[in-house]
Amino acid sequence: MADVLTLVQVRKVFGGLAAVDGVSFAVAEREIKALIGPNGAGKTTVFNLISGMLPLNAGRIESLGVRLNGRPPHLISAHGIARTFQNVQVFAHMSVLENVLVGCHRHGRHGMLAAAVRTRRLRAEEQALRAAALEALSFVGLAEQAEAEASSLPFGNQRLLEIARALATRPRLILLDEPAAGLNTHETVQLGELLTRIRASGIALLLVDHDMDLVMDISDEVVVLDHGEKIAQGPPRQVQQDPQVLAAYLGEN
Amino acid sequence: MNRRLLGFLLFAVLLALLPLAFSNPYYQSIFIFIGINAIVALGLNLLMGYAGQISLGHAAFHAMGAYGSAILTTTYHLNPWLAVAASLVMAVIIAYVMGIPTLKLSGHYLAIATLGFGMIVHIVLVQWVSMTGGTSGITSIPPLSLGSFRFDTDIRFYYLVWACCLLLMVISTNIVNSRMGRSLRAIHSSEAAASTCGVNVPRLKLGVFVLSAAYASLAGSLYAHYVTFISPEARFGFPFSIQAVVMVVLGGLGNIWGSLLGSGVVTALGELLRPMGDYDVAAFGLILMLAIVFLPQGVAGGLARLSLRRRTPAPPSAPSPQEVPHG
Repeated sequence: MADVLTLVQVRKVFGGLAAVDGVSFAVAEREIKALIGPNGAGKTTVFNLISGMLPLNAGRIESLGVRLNGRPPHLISAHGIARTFQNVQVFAHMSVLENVLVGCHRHGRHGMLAAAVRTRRLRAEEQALRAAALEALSFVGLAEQAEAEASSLPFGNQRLLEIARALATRPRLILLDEPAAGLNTHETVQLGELLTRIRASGIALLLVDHDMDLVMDISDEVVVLDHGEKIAQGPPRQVQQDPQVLAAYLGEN
Repeated sequence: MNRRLLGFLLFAVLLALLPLAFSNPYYQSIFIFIGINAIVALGLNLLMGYAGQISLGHAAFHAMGAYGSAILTTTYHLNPWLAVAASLVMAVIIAYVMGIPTLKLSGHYLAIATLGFGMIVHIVLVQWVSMTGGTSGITSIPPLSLGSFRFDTDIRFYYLVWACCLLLMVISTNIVNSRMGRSLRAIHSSEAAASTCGVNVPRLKLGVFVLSAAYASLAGSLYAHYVTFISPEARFGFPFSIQAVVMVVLGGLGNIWGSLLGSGVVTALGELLRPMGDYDVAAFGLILMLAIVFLPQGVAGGLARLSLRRRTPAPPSAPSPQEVPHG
């Protein structure tokens, strides 16, 4: 199976400190891969490198044979890689539906001039985008709140909104940065079900989370980072018993 | 017919009837200036209110329209409409070229860069005497005309300006309610999230900057063909850039009707403050401060909140941007 994401010897240095140091792994189509590690292990930095928010110092990032590093974020999104944020970044003063419509951005064609005169074709396109956005909202179970202002949603629903917005870009892979953080047990179980459904629809997931029940439950494979280096990779049960992983988490040497 | 379309049509009718109630040419000229300024504010509002970028140099683009029109019609005897169009194209090109490096900056840095740009343009207007007439400016700018119909009286020009202004209101509203407008508001909220949604943030910022420059340039051309005399001190320096910002903030950031209201208030106030001379800038600074503290959503936002409070006990936090029908 082709890999929707490949990291080869990726390295990122912040002021002399290697936040990510020679990390390599791949995410296959329809795979759920988890990226775990203690705080400061470099997980969010890896996400920022993949999504083009940060330039990398060495190594390369590819998707289906296309080099991604060096491209701006919007082109990485266009290549089918969407993401959510650890500190939720919904567009607060826009409606829930509008948030997801921004996710549909690249599926629209018209520019500023067509918008100015509001052509008939534009209105038809707008209808199609709204339908797609509503579909994404229904998928995560937020269709009824479509007209609410995003900032008025409870925190857990804002996380779902970010996922709907990512789905609306029609990605091959979604990077999920701590989607369960701040959710209660019940919400986390529902999130796990949602993520499984997303995979079933043909989308791969790369998941960072501290909720080990969720991670072990839904992931096909786990990559463990510590101090910017990959210390283990394998099926959840195997990684859980890896002495190096236990040492990293428990702080032994 | 929805209520917003009705509101817009009522406003248009009101505007059409206004000169009948005010036959005094002084008042008519004030209404014309309100229209010209509203066009600048509408454009700047797209940049500031929707995309969240600050420009303190919009007088420069206003000057390009005015001086472009003036020079092309007086020195080169070009048709006034062609001069308007040529100046607009020039302002667009200059905004594009200057926007590429500048819009990489954000917040205060962008404000300072545009401030510097405004100063450079003002200095050029004063110093390039052979082209711009220096401090004495350019006189005898011909009026706009359609066939043998010349827009050379206050009442005629009034209808021309407000027709342009209403058209630009519709265009602004259409843009704001389109995919482009959504992306603008999205980058205002989170550039990182917008870019991962596939929005080309630098290009969109550049696009809206150029568009706002085009509005300012068009307004400048209209000004030149209306007053038929322009000089650098009239409204092509820093004070006018500030006035434009005050119009947008006072009227309401991200509120299209607010730009008209802001222009109305600031233009009328400018007339009242005329006896203060150069100190009127200080008054505008004070108004800007008071507006930010007491009316963070501008006069339009404040009015909307007031009317909601009267109807319902709990006022919602933010009014949604206005919607005007498509043209």
